[in-house]
Amino acid sequence: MDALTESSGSVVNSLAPRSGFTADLAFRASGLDFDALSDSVVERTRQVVLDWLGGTVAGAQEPVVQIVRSVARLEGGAPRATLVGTEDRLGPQAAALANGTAAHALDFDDSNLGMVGHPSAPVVSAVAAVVESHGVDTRDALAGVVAGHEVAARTGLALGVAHYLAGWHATGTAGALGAAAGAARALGLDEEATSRALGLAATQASGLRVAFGTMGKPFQAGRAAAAGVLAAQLAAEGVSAATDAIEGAQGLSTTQTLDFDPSRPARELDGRLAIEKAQFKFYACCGGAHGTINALEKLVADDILSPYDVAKVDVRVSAQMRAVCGVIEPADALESKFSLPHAAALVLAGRRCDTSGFTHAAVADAALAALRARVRVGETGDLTGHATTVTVQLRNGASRTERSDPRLPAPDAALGRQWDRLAAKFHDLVGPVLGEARAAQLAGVVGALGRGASVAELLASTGVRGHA
Amino acid sequence: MPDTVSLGFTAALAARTSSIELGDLEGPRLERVRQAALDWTGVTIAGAAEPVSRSVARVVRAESTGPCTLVGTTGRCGPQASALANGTASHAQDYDDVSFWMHGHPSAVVAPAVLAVAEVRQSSGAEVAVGLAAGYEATAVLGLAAGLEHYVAGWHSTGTVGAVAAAAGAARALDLDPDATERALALATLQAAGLKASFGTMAKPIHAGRAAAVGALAALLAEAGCTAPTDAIEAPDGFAGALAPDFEPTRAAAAMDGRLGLEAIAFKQYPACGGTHASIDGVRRVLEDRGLTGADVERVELRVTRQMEDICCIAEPRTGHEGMFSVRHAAALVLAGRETSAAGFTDEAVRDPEVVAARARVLVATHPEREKGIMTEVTVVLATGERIVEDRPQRVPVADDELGAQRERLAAKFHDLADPVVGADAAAEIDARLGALECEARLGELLALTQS
Repeated sequence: MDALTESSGSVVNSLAPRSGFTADLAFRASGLDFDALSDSVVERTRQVVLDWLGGTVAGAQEPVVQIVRSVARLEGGAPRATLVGTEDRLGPQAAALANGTAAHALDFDDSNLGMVGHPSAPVVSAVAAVVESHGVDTRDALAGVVAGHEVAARTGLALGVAHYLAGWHATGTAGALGAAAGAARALGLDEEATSRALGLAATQASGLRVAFGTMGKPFQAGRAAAAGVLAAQLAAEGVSAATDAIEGAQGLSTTQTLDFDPSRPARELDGRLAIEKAQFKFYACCGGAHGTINALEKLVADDILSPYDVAKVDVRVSAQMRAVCGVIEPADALESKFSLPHAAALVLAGRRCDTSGFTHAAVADAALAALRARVRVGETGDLTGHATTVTVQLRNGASRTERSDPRLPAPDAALGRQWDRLAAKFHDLVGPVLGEARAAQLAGVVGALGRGASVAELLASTGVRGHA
Repeated sequence: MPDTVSLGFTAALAARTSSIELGDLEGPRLERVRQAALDWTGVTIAGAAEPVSRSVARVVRAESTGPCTLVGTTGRCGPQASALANGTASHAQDYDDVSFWMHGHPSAVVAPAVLAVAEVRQSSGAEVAVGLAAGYEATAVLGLAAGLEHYVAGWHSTGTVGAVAAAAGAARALDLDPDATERALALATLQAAGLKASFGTMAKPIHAGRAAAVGALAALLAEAGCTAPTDAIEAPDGFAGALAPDFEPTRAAAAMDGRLGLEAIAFKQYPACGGTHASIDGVRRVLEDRGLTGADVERVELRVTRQMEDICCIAEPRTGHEGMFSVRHAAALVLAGRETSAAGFTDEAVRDPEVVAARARVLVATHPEREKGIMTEVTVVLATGERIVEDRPQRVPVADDELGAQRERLAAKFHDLADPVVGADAAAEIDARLGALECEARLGELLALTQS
């Protein structure tokens, strides 16, 4: 039968094989057993929730979130989910959009180096949305947070740095998958339904780096959260989707990266859960300046240095971080967040590197300006990364050097101190919005999650009454 | 049209879509918009009954309340929710219109977004008509700039280009100025998504709904003052760099040559993937021309492009939905003498023993010279051994002087789809009133007729 039979290799088969990376993620997320988590993982999960909540309460006051809220209100609906830090309660997708945007609005939220993005803004916002609206118990909610971090990080790792270089913002893309996994686990979806939720999230995955510097950036985090909630809800309804949407033909692996490697997550995570790699921001500035602050704080504390003692500070960072936060003389509050000399000056002056350190007043402060002039910025020789070397020349001729890599997660033994630092940040962010007493009470509730306190009650008590 | 030479692509597109006026839609152009509105309404009314549409409607009803109509079913909700549900319904049967400039489905994304904001603002039919035209303009300009490579790379243009176009339509319906329109286009660009990996699943029509919802959201956010990048489409870390490896901003001007985007819209006569239509038409034409039946046919050979292999070449469909993406099933329906209406793409139809037997007589191979595009060379081999080849272009919009005949075909399709859901009287009223869309004082009143 002429060419047709001879070219049978080109006769199209109906279905590609279904197996692999997406199915593995669905297995991990749906099978995540809260009772099997170690105490330290549960503690890290509480810390993730605390950090998300503080950033979201404060971020909710930002103009971008007020805009998103005004549009979200048009969706009406039964008041089933709290928009934290506001008086609004809306539907779960609207709440996920608003809370996810708020969580990333200050760019003060946690990150995952392997994901190359911010996991909690999409993941915790999605889990929170379904917790209230669908009556999820606290153990499933916390399991959802762990599962969401796992899927966001594994997806981001497999997509690789090439995904970021191609223009994608993994907070929006991998974040949407993490959000779907988190919501699916919180809702108790089985493995098969979870794989469809991931397919529905992958086909919504979006977010571009061109948004950086505009309200579009936190919007992408909010959209990822909302897409994840929708994906989980549709999967629960039985909606079908590609179950190899990440690794399959015409899936994320071929459309969003040139370097997909499904084995990279296992190598990079090295037996740990992704949530153990979550990195918190303790300073209200660009992550590239955190190594400088860490190292200099240690030098100041070790030698009890005063600004008078210091003749010169030499800061060395990677070429990437010098490009990102090498502003020598900041002109305004935004630029001060991207200025290594400003960050160093704050530490030398004994000022806190919280939100108060990166204001117009701080930039205009003459004492800080004088200290900035003593700081030289150079390079370590690394192309990328956050590793930083700080050398202090003292007036007495001595010098001291300290190295810091702020992206290394806190070891288990340091979790208690990490909680204290996160609690201080929480008070810094939440106190001005809800008052000191409620901030302290909320931090206490987060500390008791998984041992008596309820996520749903926590969320419901974060609203602002009579205060939009 | 403003001078857009000195503007970036996103800004120029915003200037273009925000300045479209009813006066730009003289005679045949306005008729094309009316026909697109009629066709969209029919396929959406019918599509609302599909399982995926019912699932989405349940989710949005639980999420949202508001003034916007859920077409073809019951209930009302907010703009994003209605756009999601209506967009999904309009693409659920894959029976909605196509644009060869967009490489996708224009009305499924543009109309739900425009109608969503129109119902919030109680807009007139004229405002809706202009909004639709603006959205169609963006489908063409961006679709052409992104090029076929965007689709070939794995993107479902209906979801990606569609999100931006939906924003353009909603922004125009909201009467946003060029600056706000540019921010709306940018915010939608940040949310462009939709993988061809989803083809053959319920996620595909959801791409349309999601694009429509994103478009409405982007326009409303831009109106409220949300900032966005100014070069979201053309930037190397924007749409062009991340999603469109062959982005060429000047391609649209050359291809459109003074025509509007709405002039590229073509309508489907069969409720299946557009790639299957040439197979249906080719086999049917041979049988009708020769006065034959399927029994006179030894076999049918379909030579498709390499690109179509990933789209509509499921060899043995197991469900009606898979049947919509099977050129083999499409040709077999004609051979078996079955209807090629919705009845041909049900679970029962794909399992019908006579259709299954007919499928065995349909062979599919890739065309030796055609890599890309949606083209099928149909060869009917008769029992006598004679080979008859049909190889005609598909998805081509009709000429202006054929619009009258097209309206009759679309009206018949509309009544087939709408009468069983809304009743023949309401369907007749919708048909008549959409025939003078621009005269409607408040579109909401007309949309109320579309509910079941």
